[in-house]
Parts: sequence; C-alpha cells; structure tokens
Amino acid sequence: MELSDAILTTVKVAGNRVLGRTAIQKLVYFLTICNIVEARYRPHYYGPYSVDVASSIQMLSSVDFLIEEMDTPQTTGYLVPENWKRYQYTLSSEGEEIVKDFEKFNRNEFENLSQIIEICGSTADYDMNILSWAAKVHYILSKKGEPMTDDAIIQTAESFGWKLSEDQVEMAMDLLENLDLCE
Amino acid sequence: MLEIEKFLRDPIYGFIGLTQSEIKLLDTPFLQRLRRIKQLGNTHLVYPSACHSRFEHSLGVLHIANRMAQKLGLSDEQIRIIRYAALLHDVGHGPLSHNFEAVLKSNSGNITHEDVTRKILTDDQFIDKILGHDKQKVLDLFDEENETVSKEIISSNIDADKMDYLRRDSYHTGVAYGVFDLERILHTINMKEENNRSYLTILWKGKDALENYRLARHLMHTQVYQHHVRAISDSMFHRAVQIAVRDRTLDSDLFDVDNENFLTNYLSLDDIRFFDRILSQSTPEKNDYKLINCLENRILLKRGYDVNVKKLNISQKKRIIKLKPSQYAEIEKKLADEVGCDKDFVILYKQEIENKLYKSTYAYLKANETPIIVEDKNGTLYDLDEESLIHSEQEPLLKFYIFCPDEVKNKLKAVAEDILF
Repeated sequence: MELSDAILTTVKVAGNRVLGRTAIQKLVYFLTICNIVEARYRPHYYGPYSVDVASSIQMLSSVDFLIEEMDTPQTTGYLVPENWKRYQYTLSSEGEEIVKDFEKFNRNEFENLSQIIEICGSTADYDMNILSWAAKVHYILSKKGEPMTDDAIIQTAESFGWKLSEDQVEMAMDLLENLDLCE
Repeated sequence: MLEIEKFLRDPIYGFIGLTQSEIKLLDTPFLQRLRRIKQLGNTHLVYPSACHSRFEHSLGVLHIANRMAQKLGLSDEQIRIIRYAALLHDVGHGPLSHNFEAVLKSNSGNITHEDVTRKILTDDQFIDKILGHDKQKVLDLFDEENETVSKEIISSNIDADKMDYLRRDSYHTGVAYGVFDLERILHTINMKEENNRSYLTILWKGKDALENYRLARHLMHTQVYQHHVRAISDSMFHRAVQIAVRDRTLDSDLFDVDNENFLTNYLSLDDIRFFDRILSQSTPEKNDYKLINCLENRILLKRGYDVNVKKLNISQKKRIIKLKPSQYAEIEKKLADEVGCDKDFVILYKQEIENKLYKSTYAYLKANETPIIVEDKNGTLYDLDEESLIHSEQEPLLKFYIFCPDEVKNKLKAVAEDILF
C-alpha cells in the first residue's frame, strides 16, 4: 500500500478525525509493524517518528486531500501550558473520494488496515498518549528481541530519553496484545 | 587551552583563529579543494555574487562551533574534536555542492556527502598523521546515532553549519533574509544531560531569536535555495551527468563508492574540472556537452509547464503526487516527440516548498530529524514548533514543472496536460 493511501485511509477509519501529530505518526507506526505499509521510523524523544510519514502528510496537506488544523490557545499568557496546541487531521471531500476509490479497488488492503486502526480505537480511543507509550514499548521490545519485565522496559526507555511509568507500560501492553504484537 | 597560531580574515566574523594542527589540515589537498567548490552551486546564475566557496564556510563553521562549545563549558578535548569536525564536515562535497549529491544518490544508492566525508576521514593517510588518536573521535561526531551535544553542534537543527551558512549565503547573495540574532542564540544555548546522552536546548528567553532564525531559514529557502532558476540550472546539471553516464562520456565507476579508485577520482573533481571533464570527453553535437555549455553561458531551459498542484483537479493531483521519478523518462519522451525536440532537453521536476513557517517540524525533521528544544526556567522542555505563538495559515506549496528549450515552450504548454493526465 502506498503511504499516502495509508494515511488518508487511517484518518477515515478513525472516524475522519485524528487528534495530534503524535497520534497519526503512531497509528502508521503500527501499520508498518503489521506490514501494511512501509515507512522508516527512528527513535526521537517523543517516541518512534517517521520522516517519511511527516513528509507524506505534508504533501497530502499541500494538495488539500488532508486538512491539518490547529487549536488556538485559550490563554493570553506568554508561558502557555504544555500541549496547548493540538493538530487535528480530517479528510477534505477530495480526500474522502480518494479513500472511497481506494476501498473500491483494494478491498483486502482496506480491511487489513481497518482492523488495526479499529483496535487502536477500541483499546486506546486513539489517545495520542496511549498510542505513544505503546509505540515506545514496542520499539524497545523489538530492539531487545526477547520478553522483558516492566522494570527493564522502563529502564531501557530512559536510555532513549523516554519516561514511562508502570501504569503506562501496562496500558501499552494491553494495546500491543490486542494488536497481536506481543504475548 | 587551545593555542591559536594564526588568524584568518573573514567577512562575517572578522577574524577566525586556528591552531597548528588545524592549519596543517587546512593545507591538505582535500580541504584546499573546497576553495574550488562553490557553496551554492548554480545559485550564481541567479545571484551573480554567490561565488563563495565551501572552504570559507568550513572556517566559519569552526568559528561558530567553537563559540557554542565554549558557551556550554565543554572540555578542551571536546572543543578540539568539535573544531576538527567542523573544519572537516564538508570535505565530502562534490562539484557544485549539493548538486553532485543528487548525482551520487541517483547513481550509487543513497550515498550522501556525509558518507563521502566519513570515507575520506577513514581512508586518508594525511588525516591519520595530523589527527592521530583524535581521528576516531572526530568520526564519532559524524555518526548519526551519536547522542551527544558535541554531535548536535556539528549536525542538528541549530548547528554551527546552518548558523554559518544562513548569514554567509545571505552576505554573498546580497539578500538580507538570512540575517538573524546569532549573538542572542549563542548567549542562550544550553545543554541537557540524562543517562548517556546530552543535547542542545535554548533557554526560553532565547525563543524569539530562534523564531528569527527559523524565519531566516525559511526565507533563504524560498528566495535563494529554491529559486526556480536555480531549480532549472540544477536540473540541467543532473541531466547532463545522466547523459554523460548513459553515453559513457563518464565512467559510472566514478560514482561507485565501492570502487577502489573512487576517492582518487572524486577528490580530483571540483566545479570547473568536472565541467571540463564532460566538455573534453564529449563532443559538441552530444547532449551532455550542449547542456554543460549552456550552463556555462547561462542559456537556460524555460518553464514550459508550471503548476501549483493544489489548483489541479482531484485525479490530476492524485497523478502528480503518485508520479515517481522512474516514470519521468517515458513522459519526457512523449512530450519531446509531440513538440519536436530532443527528449534529453525535456525535464520533469517536482518541488515542495515548505511555507508553514511555524508548523514546520516536518521540514526540519526531514532535514536532520531533530526538533528544536526550548527550556523554560524550571528546566521543562518544549518542542519550539509546538510552542510557537506565530504560525502561518498557508499550506505548503507543491509545484510541478516541465522545463524545456525556449523555442518549444509554447507548444509544450499546449500539450502538457493532455500527455501528463
């Protein structure tokens, strides 16, 4: 599947709204792990991040297939609270049309993708934090290549500059289990 | 303490001091070669005075890197290594700087000038003699996986490289867009250390200087680096090299990094010698010769078709965004046949212009995959892109061009959409 089709279809399946750049990055991360689409991911301080995905999102926005909007701050202070800004991704009518076409001619791929994205919805409600924790935990586990305790995961996360609590690791594991990405 | 032996004049900073070892490095053939490689490739065809070289830029990067390292209180050894790395960071550039990188990429996988720099440092005997045990430490700073502030001084979103080239390119092109408050940034840089990694941050009070820097970077891209005349001349250069390889004017081994003579060949090339090599080994009736000759005399291809992709209809947009460079040759041939010119002189070109000033982590991630991190007075870190109060409502621009000779421009305009879509 081409990356541009995967991104548009992801937004569509997620109810035509994905909140946060992190969320869309991580949703596509799981698609790459499940071999639905190819994109290179590298660890950044906010988790695995793909320049390919970022670039494709930019191209889709530039041709108005994908709408990237930003919430404006409610505060007037200079030092604004963390995460006050959130990007929202929706499909334009043209984007919807592209997805419709894609679904019509690529039924199996559409269903495979939908299955993964829907699990992210039912388990994590597309919450960017949970998706991010799960992507980090998956990245660590796949690097290690063998089962790890929660403590070991938390410790390894620190070496990437990621802070994870036990609760967060648990929530991450729930999602990974539902995605069949860990036992 | 570093013992500065010599000071060189520089139009941007006044004087740049060098140690004895740095002077020895500067006198090696591979650094002297950078005098003959223009910093901005073909940009002098747009801005006539943009003829400055990679050599002076390398000195400028050493100067800024040194100031960053001093401000962060790094050790003498760390500063020595950073200065070496700064001086050597561009030795892997080929003729016309980034232009040749595109040639390398299309002929030799994903090879970049950084890969060639690493190869030169690894293989060159001169460097061994001058750097001794420091060589490996310098190489470590060119390692993408290196997570230290020293590496970020050499390569990151607020590295010495960019801070030098924005001001230097601005000065030499004669535009004022690349000027930003360097002193404020240098005054507010800081570092964070956790576990085995360290990275650059900017104190909150330096945030506005960063906004200024990002605006400078954006404007230099739109006004200088992505100017359409430069896009045309760069495309002509790439096409000339493609033809030279295809028609065996040039041996493709020249671009094969695994070839045992790669470095010898590569280091024998500079801007003028590379043009000369094509001109002397080709003949005037051949297309590689014609294109290089045209570039030398500034007889450039024109924009036969030029569209903001956003303005196209849905199926046309879809076609353009999915169009891969491997499909270009077939379309170029159809167009050339239709308008009656040689297919080698019809060039398809897709250009992304990032103009989402303050929503642009994407562009920066593409460039070097590191966000700019701002630190408030409590030590909490923020991605500048997420915290900036300034942003543009404009979407990034995706342009699609077809370049062709002036005499078929109107014909091509008339048939382009029929053939493309």
